[in-house]
Amino acid sequence: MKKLNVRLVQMLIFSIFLVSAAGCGQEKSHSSKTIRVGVVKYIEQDDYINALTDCLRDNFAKKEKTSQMHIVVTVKNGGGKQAIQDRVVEEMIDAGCDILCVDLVDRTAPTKIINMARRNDIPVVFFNRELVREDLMQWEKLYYVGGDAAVSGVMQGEMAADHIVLKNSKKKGKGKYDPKVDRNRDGRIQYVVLEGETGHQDAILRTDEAVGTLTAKGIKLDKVSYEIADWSKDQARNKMTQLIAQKKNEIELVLANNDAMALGAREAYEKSGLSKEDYPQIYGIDGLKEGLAAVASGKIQGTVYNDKEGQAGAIAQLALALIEKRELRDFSLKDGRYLFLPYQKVDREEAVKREH
Amino acid sequence: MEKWSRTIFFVVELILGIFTMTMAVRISADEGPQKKVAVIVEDSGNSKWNSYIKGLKDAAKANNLHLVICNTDNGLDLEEEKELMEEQRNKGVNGFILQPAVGKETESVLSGFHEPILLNASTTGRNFYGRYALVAPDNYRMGAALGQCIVKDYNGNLRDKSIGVVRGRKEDPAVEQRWKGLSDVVEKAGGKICWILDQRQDTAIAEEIRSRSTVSALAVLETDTLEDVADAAAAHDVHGAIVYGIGHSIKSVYALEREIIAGLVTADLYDMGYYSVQEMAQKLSFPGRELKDRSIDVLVPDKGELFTEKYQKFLSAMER
Repeated sequence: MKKLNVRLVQMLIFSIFLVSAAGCGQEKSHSSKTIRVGVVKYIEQDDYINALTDCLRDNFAKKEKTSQMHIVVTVKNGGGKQAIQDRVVEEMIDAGCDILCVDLVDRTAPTKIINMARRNDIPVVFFNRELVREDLMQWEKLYYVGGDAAVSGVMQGEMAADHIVLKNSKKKGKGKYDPKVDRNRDGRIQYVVLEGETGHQDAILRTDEAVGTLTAKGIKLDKVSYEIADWSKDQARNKMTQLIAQKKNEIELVLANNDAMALGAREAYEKSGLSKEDYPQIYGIDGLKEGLAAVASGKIQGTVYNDKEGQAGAIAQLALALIEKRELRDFSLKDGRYLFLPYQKVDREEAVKREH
Repeated sequence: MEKWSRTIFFVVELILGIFTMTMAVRISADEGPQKKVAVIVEDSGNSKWNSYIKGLKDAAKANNLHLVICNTDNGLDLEEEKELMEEQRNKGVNGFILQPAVGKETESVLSGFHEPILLNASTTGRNFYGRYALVAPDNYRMGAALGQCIVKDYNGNLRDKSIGVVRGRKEDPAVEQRWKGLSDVVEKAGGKICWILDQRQDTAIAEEIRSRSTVSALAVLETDTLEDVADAAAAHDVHGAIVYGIGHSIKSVYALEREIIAGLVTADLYDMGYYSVQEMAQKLSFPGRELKDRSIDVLVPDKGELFTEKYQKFLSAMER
């Protein structure tokens, strides 16, 4: 009997040792601290989104250095089609993913992604393309980080207005505008809009607000053309080349929804053979490195800085807070779900300052 | 006579019965749960894998396999690869198609898994790890083909020509093989390799190149690095050197098409993906069968023939 008791005690001690050893093993396991972040862009080639994604990777890498977490960031894209993006998200979830950061292809069609995320209890931080409010409110683990597109349009319009109207001028009508801008001195500004893409909310808002701001400031405008250039420098260059062939030096102002298209417009003029005096004022939005350099050198007259570093930082922090199930009180979330970051006007002086 | 007829009747019935049962077993086997294959390559979202992943998916569809393309970042290490394999094994995966992470312990880590494993990265040659089949391009041949591009442009003579090499990750055995192939050809043609640059993840390639001596030609041995060098060349930031490179992305092809680079060596990664899955599917259907090696075609597209029928499949797979 005594022997049996000793055996039982020995077995009990051995079992406790085994259980605790297994526990220690789990503590040290790499997998318990690995976080998989799935980032799905709307398309492969978008300079702004790629710069933002790079910042996002940097933010996660910094966090990894200062914590015990191993953060794996996988970046894929939806190839410009919502059906493809849905499939990419499905594959990411299937392979194992703790959080999704999604820049939707079609802001009105997030349902499949939301349903898949919900079924698998994976929070989603949408960015860049603001989805419809009702969709965002479908589930409590959906968030949006971005800039307020309308504000960027207003800022672009204000910058253009500052350059068009002569400072301290009390004149009205024809003499009111800077003759370097209103080159035909007809008291009206002939303008072209280069819009991102059809039906894109940010593109529509940027255009409407930029043109609306100019009009509200009393500037008389004549729309020469309105072109969709898919946020792309190449497309913008091609479309502007066609317009220059038709309109020669008629165009006095180009409002582009982003820097890439603004730079494409500038390139078209550089290849047109027109003299620099016949170039229009060109404005972009985003404040990418290339865009800022173009403003600093006077190739384009202004851009609106879309804070990619701030947005990437906010996405990373929000994503980690959601994974760690922390309170979100420190985030100034609008309606508990939206995080908007401010824009900033960048004229030549500001661009030069930023370059240094 | 009646006895004979009855016997024949029973024999026929028996044969039909066996046939029906065999068919039923086969049909139920076909309708069984889909076999799962996990694919692990570094930075799985990178566009350089577009045609490879298309090949994988097409073959998985044709062979009724469930493909799991694991989410990875750049710089996949052995510990992470092991962790992913364990995770997928716990989820019931039946086989692995891998780009083996570089490390001394690679073979011992892989040997801990009893599921079939097929490798997709060439190392020192066919079947490097002995136990595993390899479906990959011959990296030595790729390096040599790159050298031949340069030699051809200088009419077979590289005397007095200086060459800089941007190697990428030197610890990667595939890059090492490409380097050997390139240097053999360049040396044979009398060329001089002035410097070798091993790009680290956080270095700005244009700055690194600017800090080196001016060379006649730059040879780049890896896709990501080639894209960076092509960007620098487009911005006239490589001291006027003519750029040649090995790359598998559509961006590399654009660089050739726009004459930013003078020569491109690539491989048919669509075939690499397709044959890998096909080989794995056969292994999973007939477990006694050995996985076989396959060498993938090395391509050296000429700018003028990029948009011809010859490269149609290759380009469309890249664009995914």
